[in-house]
Amino acid sequence: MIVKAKRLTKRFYEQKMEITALDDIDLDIKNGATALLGPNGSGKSTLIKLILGLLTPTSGKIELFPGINESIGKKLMRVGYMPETPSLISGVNAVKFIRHIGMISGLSYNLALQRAHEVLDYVGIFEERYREIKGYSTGMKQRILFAQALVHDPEFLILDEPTTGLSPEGRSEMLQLISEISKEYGKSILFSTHILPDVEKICHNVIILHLGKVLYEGSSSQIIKDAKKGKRIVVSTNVEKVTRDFIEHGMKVIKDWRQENAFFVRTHEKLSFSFAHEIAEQNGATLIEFRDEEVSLENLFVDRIKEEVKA
Amino acid sequence: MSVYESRYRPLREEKVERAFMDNAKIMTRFEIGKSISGKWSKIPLIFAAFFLFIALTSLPALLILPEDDFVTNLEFFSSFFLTPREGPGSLIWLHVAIINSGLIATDLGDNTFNLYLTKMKLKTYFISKVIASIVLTFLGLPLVAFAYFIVAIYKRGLPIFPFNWNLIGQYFVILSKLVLFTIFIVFLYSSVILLFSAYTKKSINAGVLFIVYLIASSVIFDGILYDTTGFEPFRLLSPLTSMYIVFTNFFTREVISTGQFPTLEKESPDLVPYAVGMVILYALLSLFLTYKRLQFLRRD
Repeated sequence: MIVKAKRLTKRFYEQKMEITALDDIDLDIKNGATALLGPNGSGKSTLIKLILGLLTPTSGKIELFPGINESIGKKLMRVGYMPETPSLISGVNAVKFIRHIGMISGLSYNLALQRAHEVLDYVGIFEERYREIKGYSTGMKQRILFAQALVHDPEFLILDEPTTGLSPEGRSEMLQLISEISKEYGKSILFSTHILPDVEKICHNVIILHLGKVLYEGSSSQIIKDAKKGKRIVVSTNVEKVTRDFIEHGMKVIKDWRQENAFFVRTHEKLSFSFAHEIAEQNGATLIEFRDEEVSLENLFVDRIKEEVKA
Repeated sequence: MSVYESRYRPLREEKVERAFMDNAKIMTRFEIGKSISGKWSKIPLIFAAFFLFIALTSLPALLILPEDDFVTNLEFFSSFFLTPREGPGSLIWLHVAIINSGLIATDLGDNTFNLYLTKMKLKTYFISKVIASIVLTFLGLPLVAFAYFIVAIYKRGLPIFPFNWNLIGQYFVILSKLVLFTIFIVFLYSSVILLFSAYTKKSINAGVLFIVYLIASSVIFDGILYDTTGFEPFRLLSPLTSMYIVFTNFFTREVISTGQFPTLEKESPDLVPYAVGMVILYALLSLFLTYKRLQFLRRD
């Protein structure tokens, strides 16, 4: 177990208004890669700051490496943190920056210098490392941030939106590095993001936060298995009429925003092709596609939040 | 074909949990190095070196003076570099405004403030910035004052062989005054600049605010309120005037053998204890507010 939170609440007071960022939550972050999902304002950053000791809980308890009898300072030396916003020291080059972070993370000068070169090699920053950080591209800055999180070889990495602002190629490379460090080197990772396809590739566990509450906590494969699977249907025309007909038959219809004439039909009973074909024909349309719905974390995430809003 | 494979190497060496002051020392060294190597920081350092050069070129004239005149002039010229308001005083402001202004502001601008706090306590961060600010302020004209004092005595000949207790005593008094006033001036400037640096993400803003604050408070409290009302305590509200009052009463600057410089009159001698208190209060208040600001920023 990496982090344990019990009845954790964090409230802020801004302009005499009380804002509840985290509302009486219980959660466990286990070893391995965990995704922390949630829209803006869901409490992700507050949770990360509480884990890192930057904030103190209003009530409840949060414990890093529970059961291990060490000072918080020593525990934090086992954590690497990659912040969301580019947090790089201006006026120095990458080697000096990472060496400095290494030194304040408990490494000697020589070891910090050696490690700075090693982790920069690992993330693919070569000759550029002697250039001032200010002139680096977004992708290079993200790699350097990842390198500084690794410099002291932490057991637990907290990555706050590590692929934000990256090109598709840069994003893929960053995910490759994260995946490798988690799978091959056994680092536990807390991966905060709202880019869901990233999570599917890397994380075994998922925590979904919304409005300061935990909507879901469990394995990413289980959440997909638990989901109500339906059918994806594409019709040639009259999509409004066809969907209304399905709804009148007591079925749940969700529009697929990716394609104009496509929608998902979810029902407790099995939906047959002949039934769908019949409804389409009755409404003057042709059935173009009829197949099982592919459940992605993205769909589940949106559904969970919709359910919560309804409740 | 690559020469070597870029693989991740798990750390085999031992990490050390640093004591409170160890990380503060690392941070301080880093901040001093970074601030001095900054693009604009060379300017006040060049000015300071120029001042020292000018002072040293006038040294031969001093060395031939009789012993009493030499001591008087030694005190005059050494303390000259610490004058709070006139002459080199403005260079100290410029030095602090350029070199120290980025100490916290750049961390806020670069978003590294929270990254640091994941590695150390807020108190460690704060102490490191205070020490760095003090050292950086000292590295300008205060250091020149000490350099001048030491070079002048060395050139004159150390009063050790044979022992001249009277002269050693006089040198010691001047040195003590220099040390005390340097602590005084460095403590105030390095505290106030930190406060401004904690309220902005751009070091230039902090630097400009620092200079504007020193000048504006002097003009308002000393130039306008005191001049119109004649009520002396108004003067104490300006840190510059408070320091100036202490300076003119602290150093003996009445006998100038070379005749090149006007004698400074002692300003408001009755107010000296209050002026000392106000400067200390200004510095402590600045440090307190800076710490409170950092506590607030940690939460943000």
